[in-house]
Amino acid sequence: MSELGTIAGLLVPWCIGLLLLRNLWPIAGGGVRLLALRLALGFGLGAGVTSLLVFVALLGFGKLDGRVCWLELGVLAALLPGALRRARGPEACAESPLGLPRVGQALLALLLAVILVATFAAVQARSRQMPYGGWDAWAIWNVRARFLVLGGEAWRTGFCTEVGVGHPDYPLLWIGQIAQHWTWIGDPSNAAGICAGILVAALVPVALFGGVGLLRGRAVGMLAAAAWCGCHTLTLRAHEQCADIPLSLFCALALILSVLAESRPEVGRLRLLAGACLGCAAWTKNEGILFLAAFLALHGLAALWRGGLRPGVVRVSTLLAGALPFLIALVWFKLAIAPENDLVSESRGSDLWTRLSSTERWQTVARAFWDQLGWFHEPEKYGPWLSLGMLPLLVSGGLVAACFTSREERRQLRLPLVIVVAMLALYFLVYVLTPKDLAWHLESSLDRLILQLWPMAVFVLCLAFRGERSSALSS
Amino acid sequence: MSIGRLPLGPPFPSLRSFLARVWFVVVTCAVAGAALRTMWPPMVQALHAVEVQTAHDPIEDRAPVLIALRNSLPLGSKLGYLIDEEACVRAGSDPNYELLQTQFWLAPHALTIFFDELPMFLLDTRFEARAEALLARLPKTKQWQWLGQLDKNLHLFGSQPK
Repeated sequence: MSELGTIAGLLVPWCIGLLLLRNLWPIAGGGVRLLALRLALGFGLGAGVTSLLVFVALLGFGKLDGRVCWLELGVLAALLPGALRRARGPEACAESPLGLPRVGQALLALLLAVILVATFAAVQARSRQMPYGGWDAWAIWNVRARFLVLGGEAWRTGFCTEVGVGHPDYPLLWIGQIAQHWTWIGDPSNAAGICAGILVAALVPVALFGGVGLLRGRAVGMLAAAAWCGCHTLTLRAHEQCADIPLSLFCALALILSVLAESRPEVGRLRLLAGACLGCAAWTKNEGILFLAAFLALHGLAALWRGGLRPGVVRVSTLLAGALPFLIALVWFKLAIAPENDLVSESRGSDLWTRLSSTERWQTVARAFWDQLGWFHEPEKYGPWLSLGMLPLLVSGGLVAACFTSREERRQLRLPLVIVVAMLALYFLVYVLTPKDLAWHLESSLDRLILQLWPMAVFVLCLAFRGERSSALSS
Repeated sequence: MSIGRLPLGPPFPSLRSFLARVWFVVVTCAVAGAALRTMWPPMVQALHAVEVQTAHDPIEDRAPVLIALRNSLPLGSKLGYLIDEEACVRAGSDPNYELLQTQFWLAPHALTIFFDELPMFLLDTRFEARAEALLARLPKTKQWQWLGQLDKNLHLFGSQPK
């Protein structure tokens, strides 16, 4: 059962997500880029839905046991007829010719393959060295999942205030995903965290390839996937089984879908899916709640600016409708189960204004951000120029490339760019205001926060490249 | 309607198109080079480290029982505290008592030692055999609660570590 359970714990949620996607966005065919996007989106939605099922099972049955597997199979069976009925004829796919000659395409594909192999060989090797993951895995995510699976009716103990460390207020998407995987396996096996951690990390470049590929052509999609791998933080964090990489996947998917929605007739459905990804982000980590708020506010403002009040309300309410199931669970969890967030509780009564007006704090945070954004805190090994991080490279590449793009293409990247910059600014402000020791807080978390935003930054910067006219899919 | 198709207007002049393509190739080469520069050394190091670890880890098969035991201990476990303390001592650092008292799970700097040396240390005492025997008698779903009860009475584990 162990091997079967390991496979089923991954595949059943994934199939739920893919079938749900087929129900919500019934588009068939579409070539490798759409397939890539669907695979990543399907996994994300599946993880979201199964974590909701885990939460419902915990509240309904009082504990987590094999019944959650039957719940999952029931949802799978319920989604199947709709997915079969809704499958439309495949959209024709014009995969060639691309902007580059065939030799160039082949070389690019080969380079991407080498980069991906190097990246994931390193990740899996480190996973074998650290099968329990990093600090976040066994102090936050896997330990809570352990409480859910092994704790029986006392599962709430994992979220008690006495825990003190390990952020017992963090929401349950990734914890639920691991817990349901263990339920399938029948044992809290390391395999669940390792498999899910590597798989979700692998799906981020897949999503970028799909999203950027659909909007700008396959070559730029491959560039995006390769660029994502060039982040030094990945070498330190990807094997740690932390929830920052799933969160980064959800944020990137929300952004990709919101941009894609502007160029498709099924704009409402795509916004609904983008909203679901926002909900999943909020249901994964507290930073996801901040992202949800910023995303909704900026989309609302953009729609208000371009079309007036009604389009703004329609857009925000569609996004919110997609996020609603996750938001209901999140509110329930935060009000009924989770203790207060440590940043909030420690800030109470403290002098926010003193921290906000401290020039020294602003400088410290700015230095740390500069170090992360410029080099991902990577030690300089090959001289200053060759040690330059991927972000400055992409920014300079994108700035020049934007001169060759059309006005419509530049307009397409404006709002996503504002969202990424806004998130950076919000994180910056959180650090300035943090009641914790600033140096420790920056050291222990900034690289992970940048990792959360990294796929979105790659997506936005790759949108600055010119699209390939003949590579788009056509119906 | 195409996915991603925009109202693009007239095609670009050929020189512009050529320059865009050249720039794309330049950026692609730089990005690929930077990605390989970042990822290649960790891959080589990590693969080498796994080979070394696999070759010199005779207790690999037995260690998971102890790790499972440690990770099964409930909140505020005294036994877990003792294991953490021992791991810190073996790591060559002073046990940070305050840290260990507030943190139920292992201190980060003790992690490597915990996985590499602590199982060996516990094998030398009768710890593992006792723990394994205790665990074997229990249904898996009951282990967590039962170990919590055991932990209230450390005498069950005989001599404490060191």
